[in-house]
Amino acid sequence: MSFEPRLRVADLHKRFGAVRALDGVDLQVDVGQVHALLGHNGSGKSTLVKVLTGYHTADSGSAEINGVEVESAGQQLPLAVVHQELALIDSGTVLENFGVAVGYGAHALGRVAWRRQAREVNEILAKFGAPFGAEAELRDLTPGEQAMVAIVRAFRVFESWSQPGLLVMDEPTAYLGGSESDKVLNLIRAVAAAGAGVLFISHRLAEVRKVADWVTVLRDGRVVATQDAADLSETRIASAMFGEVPARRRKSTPRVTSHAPLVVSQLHGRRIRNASLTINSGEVVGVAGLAGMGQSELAKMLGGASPKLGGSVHLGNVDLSNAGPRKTIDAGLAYVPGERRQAGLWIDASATDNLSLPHLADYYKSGKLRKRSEMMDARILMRSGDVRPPEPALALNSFSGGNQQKIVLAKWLALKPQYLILDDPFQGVDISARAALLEMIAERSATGMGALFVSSDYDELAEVCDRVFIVYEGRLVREITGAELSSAVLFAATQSGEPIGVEKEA
Amino acid sequence: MSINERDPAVRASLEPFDWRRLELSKYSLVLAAIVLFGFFAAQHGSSFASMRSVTSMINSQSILVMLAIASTITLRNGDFDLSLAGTAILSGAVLGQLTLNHGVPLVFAALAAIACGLVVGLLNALLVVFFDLDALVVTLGMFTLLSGLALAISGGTVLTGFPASLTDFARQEFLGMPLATWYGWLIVLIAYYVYEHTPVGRYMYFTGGNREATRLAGVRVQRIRTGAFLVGGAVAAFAGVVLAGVLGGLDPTAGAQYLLQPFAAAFLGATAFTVGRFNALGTLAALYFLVIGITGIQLYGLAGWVTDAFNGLALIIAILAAGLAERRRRARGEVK
Repeated sequence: MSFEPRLRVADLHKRFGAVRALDGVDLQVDVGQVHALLGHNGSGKSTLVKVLTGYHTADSGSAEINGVEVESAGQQLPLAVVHQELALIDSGTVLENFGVAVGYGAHALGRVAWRRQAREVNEILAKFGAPFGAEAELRDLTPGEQAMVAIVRAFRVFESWSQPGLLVMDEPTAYLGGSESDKVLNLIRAVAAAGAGVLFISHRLAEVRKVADWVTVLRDGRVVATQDAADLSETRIASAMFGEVPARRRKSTPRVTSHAPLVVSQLHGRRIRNASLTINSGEVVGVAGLAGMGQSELAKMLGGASPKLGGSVHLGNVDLSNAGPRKTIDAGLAYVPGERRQAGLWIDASATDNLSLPHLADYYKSGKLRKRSEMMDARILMRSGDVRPPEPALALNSFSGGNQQKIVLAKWLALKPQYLILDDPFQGVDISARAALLEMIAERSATGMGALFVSSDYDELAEVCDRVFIVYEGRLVREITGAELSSAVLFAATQSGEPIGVEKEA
Repeated sequence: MSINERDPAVRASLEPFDWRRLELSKYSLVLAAIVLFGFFAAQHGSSFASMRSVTSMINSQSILVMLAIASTITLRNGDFDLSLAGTAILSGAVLGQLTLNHGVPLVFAALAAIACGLVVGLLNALLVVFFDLDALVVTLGMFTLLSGLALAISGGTVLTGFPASLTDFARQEFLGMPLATWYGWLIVLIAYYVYEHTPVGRYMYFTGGNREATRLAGVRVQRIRTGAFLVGGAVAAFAGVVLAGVLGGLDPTAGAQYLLQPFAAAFLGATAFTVGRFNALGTLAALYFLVIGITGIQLYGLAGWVTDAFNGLALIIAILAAGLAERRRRARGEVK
């Protein structure tokens, strides 16, 4: 056994243009250690992982796994990454899923040694206390058990090395319930106890507390805190993650109330329980929560995209309790989805055709679609939405992600909605485009448009929202408003379902 | 991202010559049909390039025109309806049985036949749209089922002796062309108008492209898909009525010969006019291109296998050309 740590990162630098994604990061994961890596969007976590996997090459500094320098993609290293999406094959057995990653170990003549493989996989499953065998069909397993398959499989990859290596867990429990995620956390401890090092990325401090030995916080590509996980405090971590910057408050323009409020009462859905809230004209109401707490479903339900299973939604005297997309749009609500390419637009069609789709019937006059005026309107929308290039005949797949999202937003703002429902639409949009998009929303809200803003970016929420609801396991548990509203407070508040204040430190 | 780089002239100068750059224009197919026609006219002389031969080529396509347009209705939404040929034959069989053996007046029998088409369309929609089953498999099964039913209804024999009013309905000439051909053209025109000049046509195109984004834009995609199966079924049933009129009888086993050719024409037609979309004029052009090719080759005295071989080959080449053109278009950010 060597004494090399599983991972040693020293003075790692990586720039993308003017952005310092990694700015001198030092980090060490020892043998048998679970090391939690925390950081907000854009802090450098995912860049670090991508350097480890060889997807990015660092500008300077070094990263070593078991003492071996990480140099390029395709290099054979004792490294396994388990993402939130587990990269498993649903229609196969556990054994087949192992085979995909580890190989099938054939007999002479190429016949797969199923029996031997099954025995070995069963042994390792039993070693880690998995409650299922190699022959189980993956689709019969619970989500937590599927995560276990991915983790044990990752560990099995290490068996072809003289010693275990580094396991990177990228938010593995984001969509798991309490007991499910406990199974996964126990397994992560067991994998560490078996000699691996684990780099555990999560936004959930409760889990970090349960599973991690050591915690490192990244902000703007730098390590801003590194400490024992035993004396972890939510407020201290939050202030490390977000800094002490005063929250940027949106200009308090005098509110114009031009519409009736949007009243949501006791709404039930697939992932939402008993949600009641009211959004007033001119108000931007945020929704924050850990991934998978139901916030996206809330936006989808209000947007008419997901079925509402109980409760009511009213806009003035219009009852939207059972409304689908058409009725919702006609009532004056516009839903901007998160998955741009799947749900926001059709990437192969022109900007014009995408922009006019929700109100295409308006262009049908005396028996003909007025394509020229459609195109002219599209050009105007693209200019005012700062879409580059403002070429309405161009297919959407030739615009950058940020500009595509500007087109999506322009499409909905063109309808002059009374309320805009935003389902975390600005993920993966570059900073300048994001600023422009937020500005467009702020401008409209100054003239009376209300908005429900679901976002995973707490800075974004703190910047544009009047108040923010915290969602935990499908329930709106808290409302944060006024001077209290800052990204650090939001982060701390999303950590638990406690309706009362965040833990205060002496 | 500068606009300059999008200028085709600038890009062309940056790239080395590449045979894949040879691409389809809107009129490639029409041009190919004309060239092919010229070639066979030179080869065969007046036996090919006579008024009589041209009109007979056109008239031979009247049923296929209707079925091919019917197939584009669902294809535009991204759904397949392989049962159309079966619907046409069933409709002809129902019409024959009602008029010949039950003395039902022609108009009512024809309406009943078209109602059959609507019922089939409704069944398809129920299975494909509401139960979310694979359209290709469901409608292929439906085709086989309908072929069997047509055979049962006609008592297993070729129906003959249809009333003169029916043959008149299909064969009577107007401006030198039989009505059957005019019906086909009328259906092409209607489809052209709906596809290119109404919101519904655009909705269909978007439904076929990204169903979820289209739904969220407030388009009732399930209604549109259902409607397409219904209208497609009705058009196919109408084609069956006309077929019975053209032939003055009905062979209940003839469904298979109408099964795939409409689709070949629809796919080939998507390479012309509004390139990349299933469209009406392109489909018509494709059928005429195919019949020119087949007739020209047959005049060399080659046997019947030529029809299938030429249809298949033309379709594969068209799909290949369209696929290559599509890649180029995507690379350049042009619209479908």
